[in-house]
Amino acid sequence: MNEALILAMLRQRAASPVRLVLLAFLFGMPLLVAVGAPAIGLSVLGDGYGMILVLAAGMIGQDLSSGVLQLLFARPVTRSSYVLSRWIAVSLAGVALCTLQALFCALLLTLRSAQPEMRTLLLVIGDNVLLAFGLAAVMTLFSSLLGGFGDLAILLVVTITGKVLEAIAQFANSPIMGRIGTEIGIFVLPKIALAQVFGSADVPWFMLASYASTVTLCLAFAIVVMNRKELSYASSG
Amino acid sequence: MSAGIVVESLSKTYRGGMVRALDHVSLTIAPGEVFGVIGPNGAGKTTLFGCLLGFLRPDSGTVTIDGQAVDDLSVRAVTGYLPERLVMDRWMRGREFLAYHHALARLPKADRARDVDAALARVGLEADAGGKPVRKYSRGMLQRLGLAQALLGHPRWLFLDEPASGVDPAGVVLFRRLLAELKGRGVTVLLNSHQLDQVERVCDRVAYVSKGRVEAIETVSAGAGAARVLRVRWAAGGTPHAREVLNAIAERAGAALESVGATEARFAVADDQAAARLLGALVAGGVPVIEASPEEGRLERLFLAGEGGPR
Amino acid sequence: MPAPGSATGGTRRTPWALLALAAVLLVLRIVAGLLEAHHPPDIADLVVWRPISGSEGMARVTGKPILYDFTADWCPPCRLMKREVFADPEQARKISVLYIPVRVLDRSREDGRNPPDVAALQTRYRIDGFPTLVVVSPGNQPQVLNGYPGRKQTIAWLESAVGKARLGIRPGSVTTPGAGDSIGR
Repeated sequence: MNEALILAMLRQRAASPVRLVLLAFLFGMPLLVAVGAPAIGLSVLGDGYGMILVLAAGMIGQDLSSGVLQLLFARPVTRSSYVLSRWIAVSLAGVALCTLQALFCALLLTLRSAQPEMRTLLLVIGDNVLLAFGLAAVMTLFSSLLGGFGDLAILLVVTITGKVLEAIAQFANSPIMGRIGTEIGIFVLPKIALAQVFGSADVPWFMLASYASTVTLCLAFAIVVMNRKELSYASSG
Repeated sequence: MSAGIVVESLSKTYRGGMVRALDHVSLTIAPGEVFGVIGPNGAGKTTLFGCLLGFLRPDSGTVTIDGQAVDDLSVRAVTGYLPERLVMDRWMRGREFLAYHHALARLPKADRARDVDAALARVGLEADAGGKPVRKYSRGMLQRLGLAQALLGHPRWLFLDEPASGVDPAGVVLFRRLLAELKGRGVTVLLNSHQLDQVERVCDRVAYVSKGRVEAIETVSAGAGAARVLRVRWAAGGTPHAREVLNAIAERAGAALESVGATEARFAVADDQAAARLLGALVAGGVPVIEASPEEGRLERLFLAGEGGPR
Repeated sequence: MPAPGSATGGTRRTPWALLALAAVLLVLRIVAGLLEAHHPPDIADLVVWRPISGSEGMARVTGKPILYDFTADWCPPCRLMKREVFADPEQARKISVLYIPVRVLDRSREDGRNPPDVAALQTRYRIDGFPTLVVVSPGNQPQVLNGYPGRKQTIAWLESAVGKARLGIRPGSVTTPGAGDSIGR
């Protein structure tokens, strides 16, 4: 992890007008709904998926296509610290936005006489923090595989594949296929329902292990991919 | 004593062996040397640079810098690189870009502001240029900024890919001055350029690369005091000067006649004094000398010779 | 001195520690998955369920309608409803606040027969499938939701049921939304 890399990426995201507009929209819309329909409560927020995606898109792919990596890797920077720095930067930005959004939402709900419980608020924030780190890890891997915004394409294809498999499994009555489809779905949406973890029932070990496994696998393979990457040094000579 | 850059039998193919970018290339670049690489497009210079910088993995052969693997962190820490196509985040200002690379090079934070200002001054960028966003830079300014970035932290190994492209004449002069300064500090420079006159002026040795092979390595006289070939022209008209006469004059002056033409001849001289003696002797011998200049086109001849096959 | 030209040193160090951790966690994931496939974990239900006895008295005192959740452990749509509605902190809080929630658990498959109060309730409301939600308020016809029509519809039904319980509904009207999963007894 490299502080200079993390800071540079955060500033890079902040300097993109398209991303800022999308983020403003995704940040503000649920808040408007909360003001208009406070009965729904904190459920208006969702899990922050959209915002995290906007932050993550192209996180490595764009660097691959633009050619900045040649200059970057001429420095004493390990490829693993590059990958992990990209992950951390996206995760932290996601955490910040989701947390701010949750706090604003709670404030607005309180003003509309629908104050959410502290425990609920903390659970929502906690869930979103975990999703930020998890989804960022998945996008880190996908982004290392293709240039530009290929990571979004891969995410879409994998997500759809999971759903299609689940649908076919119901049709063809194949529990194995259904399980594979479900696992793919879990892979592209790494989250932990903290309410389950801190609830009075059994600790959901599979949920916890799946999350940790997904995050570590994605990061490890992203590093391996970047280690093996030959930077196409395209020039006229 | 540092081992320099040692390339041994480096081979690299693309597309599953279809394209042979490098074919058992071997080179040794001594520490402190300014080494030029020239050659036609698609000759493999790009690939060579890529392998030297660790972006590409060779299929066979080895390349070491100071005895270590090229992508070793300790080597990276003392390497500076100016890519041909400089790409950077458009939102950054010049100063921020340099500060970013200063941090990436793990240079001390306390020196950052000072080093960045010094770097900007060194490449002739005005102080306020550092505050401008990079997207507003002209081509020449970008090139200077790239050079500044490569020089951060006083690297021992400098890789410059087409450093003078797009730079105005003032920049070219500055670049030459910088290289001379670097040479004085013992920095090893590897230079890839199409501008042969620049290469001839600054480099100690030049490798001519064609079709993935090093076809020739020329030792180029970089300094005014070095041995070189002098091309002397005299006024047309009058009796033609016999080869033997010119030869005799040259030998008396301590030079050697290489070739004779109608109004010019080429002489090899050992140094400046020999050149002065030769010219004086020619004038005294009745040759109406109008011009004497260092031989041009030596490197260009490599290109022409290369097309006909290895020398 | 590392082998010259190799990719094992310097900037391209293989992340062995991380790969090892990922391998270990993958194994744990598979093991946990297999275990949970055989022993599905109990999902933390956040609704504060009241015991059957005393619920009617509490309803009279507080004026809240009773929400009966007729369910069984072996019923997959019941588990889905539990996970998607009752385990949601927001929804659970609302249910606990707006209703007197009572879980009526069918044990006829496991134990052979049900406790008397469970059987009585099942007979009274003519329960023939799981899950079935019944909202009961004094002076009104019970509102019934057969099966699990999905999270959104269930939440919507719960909200409208509370409203209707307060306003009062005419005898003879039973709400049974269309598509939904239901398991017969």
